[in-house]
Amino acid sequence: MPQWRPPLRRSAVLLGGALVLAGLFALTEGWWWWEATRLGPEAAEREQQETVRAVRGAFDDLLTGMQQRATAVAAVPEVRAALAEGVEAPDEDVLTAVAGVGDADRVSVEVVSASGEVIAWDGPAFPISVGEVPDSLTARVVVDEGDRVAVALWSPVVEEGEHLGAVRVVHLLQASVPVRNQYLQDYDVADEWRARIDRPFEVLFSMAAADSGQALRGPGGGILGRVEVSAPSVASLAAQHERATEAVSAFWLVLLLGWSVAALAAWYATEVRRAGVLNTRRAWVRAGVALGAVLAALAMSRYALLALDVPVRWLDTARRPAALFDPALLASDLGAGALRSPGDLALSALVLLGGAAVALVYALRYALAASEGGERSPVRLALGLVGVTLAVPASGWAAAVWVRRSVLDATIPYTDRATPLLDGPTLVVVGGLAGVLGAAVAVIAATVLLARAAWRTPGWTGWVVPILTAVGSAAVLALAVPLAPLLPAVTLAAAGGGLATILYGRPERWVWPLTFRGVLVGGLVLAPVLYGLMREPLEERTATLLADAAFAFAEARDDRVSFAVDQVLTDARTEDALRLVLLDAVAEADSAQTTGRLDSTRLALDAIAAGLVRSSLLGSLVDVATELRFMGPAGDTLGSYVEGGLPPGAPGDPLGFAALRRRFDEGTPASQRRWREPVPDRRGLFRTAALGPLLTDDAEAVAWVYLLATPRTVRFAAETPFPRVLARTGLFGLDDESLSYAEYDDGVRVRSRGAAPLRLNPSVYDRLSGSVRSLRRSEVLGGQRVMAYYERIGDDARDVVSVRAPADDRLDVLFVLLRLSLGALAVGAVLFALGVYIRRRAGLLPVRRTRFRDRVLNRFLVVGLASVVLTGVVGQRVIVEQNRQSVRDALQQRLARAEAALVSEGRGLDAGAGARLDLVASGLGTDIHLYRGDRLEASSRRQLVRQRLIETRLPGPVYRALFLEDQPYAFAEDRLGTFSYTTGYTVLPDSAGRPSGALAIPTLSEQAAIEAGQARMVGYLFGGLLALMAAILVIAVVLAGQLTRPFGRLREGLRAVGAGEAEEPIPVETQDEVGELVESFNAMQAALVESRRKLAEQERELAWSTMARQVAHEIKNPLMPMKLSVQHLQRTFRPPPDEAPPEAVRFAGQFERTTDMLIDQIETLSRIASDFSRFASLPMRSPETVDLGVVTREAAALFEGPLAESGRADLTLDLTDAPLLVMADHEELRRVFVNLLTNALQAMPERPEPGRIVLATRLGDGAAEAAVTDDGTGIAEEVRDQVFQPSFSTKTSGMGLGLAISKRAVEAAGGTITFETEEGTGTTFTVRLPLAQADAQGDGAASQNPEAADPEAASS
Amino acid sequence: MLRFSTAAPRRALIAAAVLFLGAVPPSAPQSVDDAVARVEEGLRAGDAEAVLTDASGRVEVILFGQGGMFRRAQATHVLRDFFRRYPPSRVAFAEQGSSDDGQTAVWRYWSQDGGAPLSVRVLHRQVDEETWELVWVRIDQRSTVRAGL
Repeated sequence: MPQWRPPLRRSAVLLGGALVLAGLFALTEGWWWWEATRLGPEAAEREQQETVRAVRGAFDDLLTGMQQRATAVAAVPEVRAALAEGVEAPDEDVLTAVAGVGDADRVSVEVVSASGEVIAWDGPAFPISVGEVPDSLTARVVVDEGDRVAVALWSPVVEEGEHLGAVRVVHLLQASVPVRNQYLQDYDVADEWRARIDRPFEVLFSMAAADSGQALRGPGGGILGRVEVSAPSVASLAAQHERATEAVSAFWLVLLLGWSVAALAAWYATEVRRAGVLNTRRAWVRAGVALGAVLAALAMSRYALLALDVPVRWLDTARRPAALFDPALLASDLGAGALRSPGDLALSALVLLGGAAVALVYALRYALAASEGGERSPVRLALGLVGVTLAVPASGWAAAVWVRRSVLDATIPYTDRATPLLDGPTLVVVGGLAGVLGAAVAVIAATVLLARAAWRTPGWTGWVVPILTAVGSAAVLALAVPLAPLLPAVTLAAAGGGLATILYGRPERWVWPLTFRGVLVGGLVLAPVLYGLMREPLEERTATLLADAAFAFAEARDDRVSFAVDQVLTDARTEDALRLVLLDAVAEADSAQTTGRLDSTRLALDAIAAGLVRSSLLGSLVDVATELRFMGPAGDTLGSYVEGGLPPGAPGDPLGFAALRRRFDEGTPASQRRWREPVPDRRGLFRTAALGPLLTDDAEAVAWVYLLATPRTVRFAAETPFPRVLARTGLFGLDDESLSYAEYDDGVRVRSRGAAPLRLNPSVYDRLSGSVRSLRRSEVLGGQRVMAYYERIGDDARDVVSVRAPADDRLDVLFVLLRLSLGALAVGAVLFALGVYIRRRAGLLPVRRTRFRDRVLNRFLVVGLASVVLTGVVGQRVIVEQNRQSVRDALQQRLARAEAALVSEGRGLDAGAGARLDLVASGLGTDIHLYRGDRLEASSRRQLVRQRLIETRLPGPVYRALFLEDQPYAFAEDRLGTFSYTTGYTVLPDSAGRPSGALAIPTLSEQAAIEAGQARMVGYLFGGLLALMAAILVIAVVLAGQLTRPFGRLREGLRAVGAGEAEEPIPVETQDEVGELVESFNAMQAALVESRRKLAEQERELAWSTMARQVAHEIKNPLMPMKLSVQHLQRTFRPPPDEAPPEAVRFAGQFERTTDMLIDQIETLSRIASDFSRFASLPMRSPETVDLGVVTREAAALFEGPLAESGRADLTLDLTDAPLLVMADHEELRRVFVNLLTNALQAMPERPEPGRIVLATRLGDGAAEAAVTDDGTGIAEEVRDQVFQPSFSTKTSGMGLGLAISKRAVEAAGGTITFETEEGTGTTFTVRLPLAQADAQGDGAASQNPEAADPEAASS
Repeated sequence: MLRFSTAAPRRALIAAAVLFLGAVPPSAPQSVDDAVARVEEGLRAGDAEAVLTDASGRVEVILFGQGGMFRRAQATHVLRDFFRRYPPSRVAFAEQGSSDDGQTAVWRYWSQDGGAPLSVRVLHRQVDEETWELVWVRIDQRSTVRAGL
């Protein structure tokens, strides 16, 4: 019995390592306890001072960086030259020199002349708060109209003591945004410092003196701000210290966990190897126990990591969690925290994959051991199949649940079409899900292997039942549980079965899943399965979001409207001019002054109302009609703006106002300054009503702003759309701009936003009339597939809302598949790298021998994939560039139209241009900014300008292009937070034709649509590329097979040649070099076969000759004495006389017959011996020029006697008249034809009619031919190869040497003898002999025949 | 289908059900104040589940301007992560008011790490006369300078 010795040394190392880690953990905890006891007030004070020092250091670093930047710009020769020349206007060279020095978001660099003129700039504009340009290094805090706070550092430019000007560098310190979302966030430079300063602190940037806080000073010692740091309590210090210690302790614990798992894994490896060697039940049980321990340790380790908050604990340095561990992207309660973030999902999947791999190793070892023999056990067989039946559905179900929850409990944009590349979190999640599927495949493979091992039937038959059971149970799962669709479930099971068949019994292939091809196949198989499992949850998630959107639409709740209404109310409250006019209006209304004055006040209020609406985002909502009224305390309208409609001074809605006012008074606390709610209109449709008081300084409501926003159906998209960048976060999680809404009253559309059918589909109406409250279905709208969600509002289908979102088409599906494949392959790349290490350790790398087909296939795949990637990269680049150019072209056209519209309205850039801008912008359906010089004069987005979301100064490069380089157009990539868009600029000339201003049109509002269009193109490109990649894969496999097939055949042919086996010629399939190679091989093979045949023939003939000589010698010698003796007996025997007794007479008769027979037989034997002798002997031939016709005629003459005797055939001569001179031994040649004629006669069957033998001669192609044709029995197929062999004969007499001798004779004369035969029809033997040359007469031919010179043959 | 051979077991079951239902006090009508108090308790304890007690299947959670509409399970993890990052030190009720969507409540929230207090706003919507549902939770950090709104 095999012995097994456990590796004791390794156990000792593992135990020692664990003890060391445990000791380090204990040391860390002890150090923390010791440090905690030392914490006191002094430590708190020290901490406070260190924090202040750190903040001051950070601020000083900021100023130093600004100073360096300023010094670098001041050192630029163009800058110094321009300042020295006293340039007072923007300068082209200086603008070029400073281009790119600033930062579009937060840092600006300006070159200022000594008189204070900015001659070049880069970056955002900030006010200059100094009267004169400082002549020394100075820093100041500046606050702009948008309440942005910045620090400005002036660095003077001095040349030989003369103050030329200065470089001003401004760094933004703090700014807030009107709405926070994925693009826009508040900015505070202190947040950047907080990333590296642990203790809390507050910074106030102001140059005003203050009592509290520690001063932050600039270069001149002036105060620029204050930092406030509260003295930390001892408890908070201890807590902080504890957190830091915990991070270190967690590190030791994680190492200890890893060490423990590694130790268990090593034990398991030992046990499973031992079981493989011993192959006893007890050993396998022990290995199973070790497997269970490893799996349990893996699971416990995973939850230990979750409990320790690792690795999140080590990444928590920012205000937001690290993207990979952000639960806002993905978090589920499935698995008790195992899926609480994308990173945690990936880690859990990794643990699952590891556990499944460990289990698979057990199954592989067991199957390998079982394949070496043993009895088939029905119990094991049944257990194996039960295992498959249970494990396969369980694995499939678990994988489906993981995938489902990872979709539903996530906001990750799995189907984002912007780019084929996955962002970090999505890649991690997709990779994790692929890992889960991989684990399921491994588990299925393990169970199939165990079942296969129990089957113990060699060959493929042993796989059929386990794999069919796996696939069948997966199908049952799919049919029974809707979680897992049929195709993915069955594919998963089949993949598991396939993996089992690949790995079974071949240890050298156990690492196949980690090879390039294994990873590629795995990724391309798992990605479609993953998509199949994700599809339903993705649709469900979309449907849920659509339901949210439908609910909001039904209640007329629109976040865009809410946000915009709040904006208007706030602006109205802060509009000082409005309050003054309103006070006048109220006073006039109270005193009932003259109508003329009242009208002028009303007109002023109407204008303000119109300005408030138009400059707000409400003016951008094309599907909302806005009505704004200033209401007096008594409910009378003081001024109004009604979009699109009502005449000025219309009574409005006093009842609605009164009701809203009542609810405001009842329900609004004092701190609340507005009231907003949905109210029904006369038709019962909801609209948004809002009310806000306009207060005096004494907080008295002088008047009210009453606003109604009514949804309307858009017929012409002639107005500026709502910019996505300003949408509040959490707008349903869908791309709201791609949604279309509709409300149907009794099947007829009554309002909509976006494209929607006029009438409700009858089938939808019918279904919603029943018990169904909501339904979703796929529809085609305007030629595009959409997913439509319907929900009825009341008890019947009278009131129904619908929301439609674009649905994925086939190319979209391909695109998503591509993304998933890339995600799966990314995981595969990691596995491949791991596999390289494992294979090197196992001695499998470098590969000793590879198949040529594999190498060709790998190169095809590499070239194919590289082509696809290159096409994708270039294609995407082309699309982006093309899109960029299209955008610029469109902007150019709009700029031209806007310029034309402005000019047609007046005289261009005159004083009234700003006022006309709204009309032009509204007419063109775009935003427009108007610049005078480099300064923003007017904008159709005044709200954004006020909020400093739109810069008030032309970008330096644009100014240079338009004003200094006389370019008609210029373009710049602008940003709002992280939202990028393009702005086009065109120059506006003054009356003298000089550039005086500029017109700008941004793509701010359409950027989302532009990006969506581009994403769609990219989606199509990459969807097509995925199909191309699949085609390349298939073609590569086919082509590699085709190309390498001839080589495989050649290899087989060479092997056959080497083994001496006869091989058919290889078919030539191509006409190229490979075909030539095959032809050459075939020729070589044929030559080899022929030479081998000749060699064998010669060997055979030699053997026959030797034997024949022996036989002839041994037989002939005694025959002559025997014959002579018998003849002597005959001669000496006296016949008895007539009277002799009958016995003597009979004896005499008998004697005579016997001796005759003896002589006869002796002669036969003698003849045979002569034949042998003739065959064996190499006669001294006398080649001479003979006429073949003469020879054949002689043979025919000799043959006439026997022919006539037999009467079985008639001989016909068909001899040519021309002489056929050949060089041959006359006598030998005649015997050849006698022999052939004899054979022909003997081939005649018994039949009443005589047969026919034809002897013919003719002059062939350079040869003389003679043919003997008979209509006899022919030669059987199976013996045709032996016709010329010495032992061949179909006759009962003779030794079958005739044809062999004839062949030798003909070949000795340089000719050939062949035959054609057909069974039952006859045979033709043809002798071809070369015609004799004139100079070859004599004995030349004989001298050419080596046999003729053989002395031994000659003697015989 | 399970059938009893006599009526006795059925009567016993009905009696047990009556007793059981009698023992359980009927749920009292819930006021919005109760719902707001539960949120406040959750904030004080740094307990995400408690904050989301009245949330339905989906709830909107916006942290510092980022977030979205989450299923409750995900929202719980999002808030749990927030509490882990900003463990509560002090919570002060700021204001409560009505809006078109429901009842809002605002707190100021101090983290153990110090720094300026955060603003926590929640909205409860009345589902029926007895039920208030938590619709959204928004947590913001007001910067030193405020512009616009």
